[in-house]
Amino acid sequence: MTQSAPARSRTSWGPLDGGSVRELYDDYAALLDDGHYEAWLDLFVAGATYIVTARENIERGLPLATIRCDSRAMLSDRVDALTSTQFFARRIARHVITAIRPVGVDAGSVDVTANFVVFETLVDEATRVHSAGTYADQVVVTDEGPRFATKLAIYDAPLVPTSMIVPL
Amino acid sequence: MEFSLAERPIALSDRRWPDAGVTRVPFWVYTDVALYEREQERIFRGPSWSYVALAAEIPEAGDFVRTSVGDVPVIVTRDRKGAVHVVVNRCAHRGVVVCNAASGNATTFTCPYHQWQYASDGRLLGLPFKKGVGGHGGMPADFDNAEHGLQQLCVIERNGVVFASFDHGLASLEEYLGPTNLGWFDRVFDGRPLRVLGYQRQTVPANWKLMFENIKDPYHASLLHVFLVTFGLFRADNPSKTQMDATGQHSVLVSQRSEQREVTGTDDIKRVRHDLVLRDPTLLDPVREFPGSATVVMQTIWPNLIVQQQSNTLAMRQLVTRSVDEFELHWTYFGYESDDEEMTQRRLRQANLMGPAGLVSIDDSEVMRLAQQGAAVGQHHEALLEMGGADLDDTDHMVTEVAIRAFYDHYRTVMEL
Ligand SMILES: [Fe+2]
Repeated sequence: MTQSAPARSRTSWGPLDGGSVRELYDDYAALLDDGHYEAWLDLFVAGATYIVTARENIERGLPLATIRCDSRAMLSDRVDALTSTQFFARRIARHVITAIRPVGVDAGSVDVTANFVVFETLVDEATRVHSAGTYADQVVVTDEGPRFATKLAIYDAPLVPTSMIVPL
Repeated sequence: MEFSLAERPIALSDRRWPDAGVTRVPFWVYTDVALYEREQERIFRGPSWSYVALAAEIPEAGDFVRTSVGDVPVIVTRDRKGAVHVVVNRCAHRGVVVCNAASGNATTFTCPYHQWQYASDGRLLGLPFKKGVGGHGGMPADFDNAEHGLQQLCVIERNGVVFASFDHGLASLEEYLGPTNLGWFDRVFDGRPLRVLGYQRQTVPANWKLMFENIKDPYHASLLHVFLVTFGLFRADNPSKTQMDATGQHSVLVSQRSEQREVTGTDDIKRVRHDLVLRDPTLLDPVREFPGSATVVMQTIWPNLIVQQQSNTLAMRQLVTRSVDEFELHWTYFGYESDDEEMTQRRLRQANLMGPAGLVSIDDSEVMRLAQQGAAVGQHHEALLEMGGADLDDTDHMVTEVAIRAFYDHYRTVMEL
């Protein structure tokens, strides 16, 4: 897991522009929450990995994830399931993403951490916090702008409330 | 919704199972708080072997994990000599939770409140100021440490799987499971050392019995789970069978995979999505690893365990009851120490099918929530279990609810309903 750098020794954005990375995360939240999954998939490079796991697995050094996609194609298979085969009660998700920070820089990429909170509203229930945690991502430079090469979402509470329908 | 101001709670002693027997399940079994308390006493703290851990989770002396038996929190420990113990995680003094960590390594457990200290097997090793301070206070002269340990459960282990019981006079696990279900258990737990891959956990806002009903119900699998039928992992026309033990408390659902193909023989399997193909076929690349033709074996072991083998994804699904209308499902995924890296990666990818975000099992957690909602407003109504008839016998197809009927047949005996 990528550790946050101390505040006073902030890593630079290197090859990326900080504002465009903020936009990447804003687009990520808005596209997911509005259900524009095809556009959301375009925020990942083809070879991207997308992993969602509980903090306890990270802390115990265990490889299992709750969602594990080894490629954008596999993530796309998941979107197909979400939109055409899975049964679930209708809900609205709201991703709130803050504290986006560069923690490591390479020639064409930046390691980025951020915090997330996802609120979930089922049609017949009050809004609740579905999950909270951190991202440990790798963002790369492409011709279309910054894109995710790795997204690792680590949720803090081991217990998921009922289901994780919308990706974190 | 049926509701009137005159309506009073019905006492458990006034509850009556429908005359039609186990082809009916009254909805109050999912909502009656007094019944839930009786279940804790007679089932979870009664004569049953509850699954608590895999031995591979606590391989070294001093290793421990926390879990629950019914709704009682326990610690599963390995002592200095390697023996496994299960003790209630509640200080004998004032009831404070002794162990806070979910897992770790410790040869003693000290209550944070007054520093009472316990050994791995629950024995009280000592307590501060037992003889008083400066001649003041202290415990009575006849205070005996041996009488104030953490409550110990009876522990049994078979091929790396640890079970515990509050009943210290219970039959062996072999006798408990019966020959058929023991055979299926030993198919996965054949003595090879296990490797824990990790955990998924979820709360489900439903009564715990709905989870057992779900896994004991092959009828729903080919209808609710479009992903399963589309990719041939489970279909009503695949060869399959349901086998119970003599009491009906345990059961196993066995089936075998087919290729993604056109529907033949019946028009009822309408939910196949022929237009869907996997863009990344490595998501599902099962390989045969057990003898025989079965590719799906779902075993339910009374009162809190489902052993899952779907293709190459192996998991313990442990039920933890929290209240009459909520349970937790703890998924412990595992493989074998002898797995190569390719097999481990395959198991990790296939885990996408299951758990709180499972391509398949999301359908189940969502349906159980709705089942509970329906039961809560149907107190004078009952569920119908007539698919495949009214009998309690093993079957060689999956168009049946027989394993649920057998479960309730045993349940009624234990609960005197
Ligand atoms: Fe199911």
